[in-house]
Amino acid sequence: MKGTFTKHYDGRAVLDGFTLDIHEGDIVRIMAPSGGGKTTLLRLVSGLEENECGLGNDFARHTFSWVFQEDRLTDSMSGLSNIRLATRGKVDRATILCAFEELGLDDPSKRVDECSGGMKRRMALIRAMLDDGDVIILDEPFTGLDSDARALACRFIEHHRHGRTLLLVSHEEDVLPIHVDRTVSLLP
Amino acid sequence: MQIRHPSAARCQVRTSTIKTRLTKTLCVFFWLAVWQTAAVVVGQRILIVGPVEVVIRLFELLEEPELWSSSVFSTVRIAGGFLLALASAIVLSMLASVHRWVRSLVEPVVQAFKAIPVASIIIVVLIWVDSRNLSVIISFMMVFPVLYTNLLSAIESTDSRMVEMGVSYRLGAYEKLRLIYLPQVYPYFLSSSSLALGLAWKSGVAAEVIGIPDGSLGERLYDAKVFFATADVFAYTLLIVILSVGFEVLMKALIRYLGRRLEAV
Ligand SMILES: Nc1ncnc2c1ncn2[C@@H]1O[C@H](COP(=O)(O)OP(=O)(O)OP(=O)(O)O)[C@@H](O)[C@H]1O
Ligand SMILES: [Mg+2]
Repeated sequence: MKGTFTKHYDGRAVLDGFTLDIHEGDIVRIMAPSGGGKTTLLRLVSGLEENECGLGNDFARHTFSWVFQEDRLTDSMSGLSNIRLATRGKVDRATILCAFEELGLDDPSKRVDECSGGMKRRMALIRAMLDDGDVIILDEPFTGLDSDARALACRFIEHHRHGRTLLLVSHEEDVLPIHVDRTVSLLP
Repeated sequence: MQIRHPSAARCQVRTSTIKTRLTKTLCVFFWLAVWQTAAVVVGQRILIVGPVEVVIRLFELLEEPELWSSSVFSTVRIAGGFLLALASAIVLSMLASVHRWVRSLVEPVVQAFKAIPVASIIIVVLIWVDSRNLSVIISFMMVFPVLYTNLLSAIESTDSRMVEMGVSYRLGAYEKLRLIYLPQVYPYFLSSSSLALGLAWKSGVAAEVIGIPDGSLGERLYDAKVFFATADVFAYTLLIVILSVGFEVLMKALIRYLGRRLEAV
């Protein structure tokens, strides 16, 4: 899969003809310093942002399951309802409960606004991994997780990926217990 | 900072709520006492009637079955106008948020409803239709702009990041409504309907006093005024307040129940 992306904000180029060329089914880790355009690249790839580059983009015909940099969960609902509704009822209750267990979360019926930051992050991860998009996009999915929780999360990701392409953004210094096929750097 | 034992803090919270409750009750009693004193000092029952007498008079009046049927007559119409306005505001604000032209079409009507004096509307409506259903139309016209404007601005202020989440997860209309729009709109809905309910009753009764439909509370209020039955005027007013507060409590309970069902509270 290949796409070339350009994006300017306020006349300044965040990405200027950057080409992302990856194999289908790979786990690709994207690295760049803070403000280096990682989120912007993911948004361009998934079509949430208009690409200023007119070249062909193989990503355009895919569907995406996102963990956004913010959780983007509905606060007044339980984690369970959030995930069930976001996956359009295609994932049954038992599977979701199982996923909560795999990640070491206890109460799926607790309102999101009563959950801790780390719990919300993991619920956002469950939502993306159980959804059926062709490409999985994880933008800093481990914020607020300690190394044990992160290890569980990595195992969870590998277990539910089912060979789908995965784009991962995570802090540079993090050594992740997950097999990464390729690392892509966005040089400033 | 000193860390206090949680139960001590809870205890303090409880005493402070008891204190504010007590203060509130005392204030109410203070004004009731002022009212009673004024009634005694003035000493003319045609001008002012004390609170005790008003309550007694209301109980006397409630022995007439006609008063009960008048209450039903007015409640059904005013509540009907409110519910009609609520339904139209929900449908139209949803359409207006999707289609620009609906918005442009509804806007002048809302502005007109807001600007025209109620009294003029009442008179014009009386020329057109029978006074029996006047209060339905008047409470509708008063309430609709409030609900429509509030709902529309609530829909418009929906978090764009959540909308994006909805797009990215390919959500259908049902899921978008439950996950994104209802939780966002719900608090506005609750506060604006409580405001609108008060308006519906005030304008509905005013319309009945002007249009004097047979067998309405407004007619009774008007007759009481004509016969200088001041105690009756006060008693009917109290009854109207009780009915409107009762209906408001009922509506709010219903909205809260629906909110809990949809987990939007
Ligand atoms: N909507 C926007 N409007 C204006 N500028 C933007 C917008 N989104 C991003 N930018 C700018 O683009 C640059 C890259 O932002 P981006 O969010 O892609 O970085 P990032 O690598 O994800 O950073 P972080 O590690 O902090 O998440 C930043 O300088 C940012 O200020
Ligand atoms: Mg980012």
